[in-house]
Amino acid sequence: MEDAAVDDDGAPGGTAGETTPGAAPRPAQVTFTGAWWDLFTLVLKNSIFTLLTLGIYRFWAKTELRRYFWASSALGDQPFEYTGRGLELFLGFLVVIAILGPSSLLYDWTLGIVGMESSTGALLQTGYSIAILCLIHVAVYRIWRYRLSRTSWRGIRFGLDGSTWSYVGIAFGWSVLVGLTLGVMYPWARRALWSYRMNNARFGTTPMAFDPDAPIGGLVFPWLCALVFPGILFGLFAYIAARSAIDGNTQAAGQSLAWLWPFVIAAFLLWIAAAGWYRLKEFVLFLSHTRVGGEITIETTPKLVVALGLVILNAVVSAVILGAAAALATMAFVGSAVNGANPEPLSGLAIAAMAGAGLTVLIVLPAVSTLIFRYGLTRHIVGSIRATNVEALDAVAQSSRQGPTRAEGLADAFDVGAF
Amino acid sequence: MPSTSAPSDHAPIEARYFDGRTAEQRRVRLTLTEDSLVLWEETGRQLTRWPRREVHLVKYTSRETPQLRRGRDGDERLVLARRDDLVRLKRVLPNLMRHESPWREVWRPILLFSAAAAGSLYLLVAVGIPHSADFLAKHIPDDWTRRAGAAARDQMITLLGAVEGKRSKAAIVCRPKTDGAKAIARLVSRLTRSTDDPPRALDVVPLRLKLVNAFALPGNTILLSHGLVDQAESGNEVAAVIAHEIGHLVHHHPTKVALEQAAVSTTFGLLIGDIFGGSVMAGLGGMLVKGAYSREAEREADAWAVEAMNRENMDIRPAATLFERLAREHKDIERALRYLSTHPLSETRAATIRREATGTEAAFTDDEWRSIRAMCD
Repeated sequence: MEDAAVDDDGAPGGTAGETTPGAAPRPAQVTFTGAWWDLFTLVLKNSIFTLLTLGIYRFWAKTELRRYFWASSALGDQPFEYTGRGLELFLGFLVVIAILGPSSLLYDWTLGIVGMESSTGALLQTGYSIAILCLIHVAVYRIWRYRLSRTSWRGIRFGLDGSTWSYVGIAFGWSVLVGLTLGVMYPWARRALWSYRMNNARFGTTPMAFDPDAPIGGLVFPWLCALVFPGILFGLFAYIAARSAIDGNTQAAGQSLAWLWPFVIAAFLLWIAAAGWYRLKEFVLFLSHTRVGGEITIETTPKLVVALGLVILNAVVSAVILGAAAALATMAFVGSAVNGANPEPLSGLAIAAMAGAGLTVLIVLPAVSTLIFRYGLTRHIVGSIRATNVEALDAVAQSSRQGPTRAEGLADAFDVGAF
Repeated sequence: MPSTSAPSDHAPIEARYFDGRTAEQRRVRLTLTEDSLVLWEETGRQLTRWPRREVHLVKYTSRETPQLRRGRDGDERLVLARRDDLVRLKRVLPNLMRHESPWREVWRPILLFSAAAAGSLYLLVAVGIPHSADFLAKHIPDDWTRRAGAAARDQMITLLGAVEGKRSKAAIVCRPKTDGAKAIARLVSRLTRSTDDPPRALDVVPLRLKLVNAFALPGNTILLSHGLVDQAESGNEVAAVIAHEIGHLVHHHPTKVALEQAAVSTTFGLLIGDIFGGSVMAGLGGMLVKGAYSREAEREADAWAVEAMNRENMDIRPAATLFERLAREHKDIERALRYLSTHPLSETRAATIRREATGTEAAFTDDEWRSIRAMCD
């Protein structure tokens, strides 16, 4: 039996556990190995199936996408794995529908009866908004818990312990503070929430940790930039609305204010750029202060130019697609007029246009966004992550906790956590 | 060297092994027996065996380092050292490229759940929502609907006015308490005096619009566009339309439709996965539901109008000519797309009315009819 000559590492990037004695530990590089073409065929298949099953397939579609992105990211030479199942997402969805469906309906009807302007109505609306806000945070924590428990590396699962309701309490408190300060305290809120999550997360039985005092000073300026633009946009729109109300004719006012539109678009793009800048800096800061097991540190060096370029490209392409959908929808409405006792029925063309608009928004837009933005950004950022002291990972043991079995129903209903 | 009885390839395959209990990696060699893949440690000790049928390739991982897993949920992993070894293994491991069982894992759940979802959706939209909306509409106290109705009325008036370029309510709503308005009020009380549970505080609001139509709204309001009065050839045509709208109110149709619309939008929103959005689909769905089920509502309203006017000995036959006139303007479109029209074919309605009508007298005196025509001046 011949001894096949096998290369020591067998793969690029260094292998954990294979250092020469006495040498400083090399940081292990995380690499992205996913091919765009594979993603394209996957997205195509997902879109077709989702369409054919009127949207039911989306849970399996999401699962397959995650499998692709997780498996395309490798630490050292060992890829991550996503072990979740579409069925789990689907069951989560059913459970939430059973609860949210009747309650939303009841809320709708009660509000209609009581009247939106009345004091009871105002109270009801406030209560409902607060409830939704809390539920969104519940959804966020449960997403993290589910996905971490379905992520594994070398067969060892991650996990998230801690209590959902403690998290919601913290999140709610910070939301109030952020609201009161008109959004200025947002970076601190994000750090507090990331801190709770990471300090309760683990890889196998090895706990993860985050330094809750991570220096946040460098984030303030980017955040203020990001905050300024919504204010500018709001001001512009308010001005346009006020002018048209005074002039009494929206169409004429729109035309006379047409010179404002380039400014609106510019402000919008700058806002997206500033928000992207903030998010990137936040990501780098948080990741670099997160540790696994006290010894393993992570650092990441993504390039702002690449990230922003992708963000803006995605925004422009999405706007074009949405514009096409809006044009289709307008066509549909122009072609039909319904009036009480003797309506003109919808023409076949109008129905087709409506269906086309819906399709574009629900299927084409996410597909294109995934192929451009998610692929590009994941590839760039994942490729820039490095971890040190990964030999320590050899000692990590599997945890016996399995994690949640139904998943993400709330997140699906509220459209949280797009990936 | 351990001995093997491999039916095919002889050279052992080099791999790295993760046992799923710790993250430590081990170098192993793989050999094949009749029914399993055997893992050997470097020391020559046999580590474990994986049944051949349970070995699967982990999807989407890099082709350079093929990953194998055992079974459906196993935590163990094997990483082949060489890409070519995967080709050798593909020949001898039957389920390598497949799910554990594609029918059971993937397709059957999808089909079953899609069918179940489609079935429940149909039941909900076709049966559940209309019936509960109907029940609720009949049992909600009038006070509650009046407030919802007031909001609906204002919105409707503004919308209709905007279509004709009128902005202020004063320009649209005609003066109350004119002789014409009083004549109509008298008609309303005559028509509803024998009804078991007549709509309370029924109000006919004349609108200074060119629209040829009338609407019944929740809260017992009827909007009557003066365009209908202008192009009517006799007072009985207008009386018949008013009777028809009263028929809708007696059966609580407007409230029912409002409840249905809310329910359908919510359902579609949840289904699509965005409870706040989904308006595009929801709008379309709403229009379809309204189209399919209002035909029955229209028949009920017609039946009530015929019965009420017959009882007061008013001649309802002119309504038939009204419907036929209106049908002539929309002839082909309406016939081709009847399923989406919110009304049954005008010709069918006309035929039914002529068949059932027994009354002979005018609904208004000449003076009353004159004042009605001048109502919005």
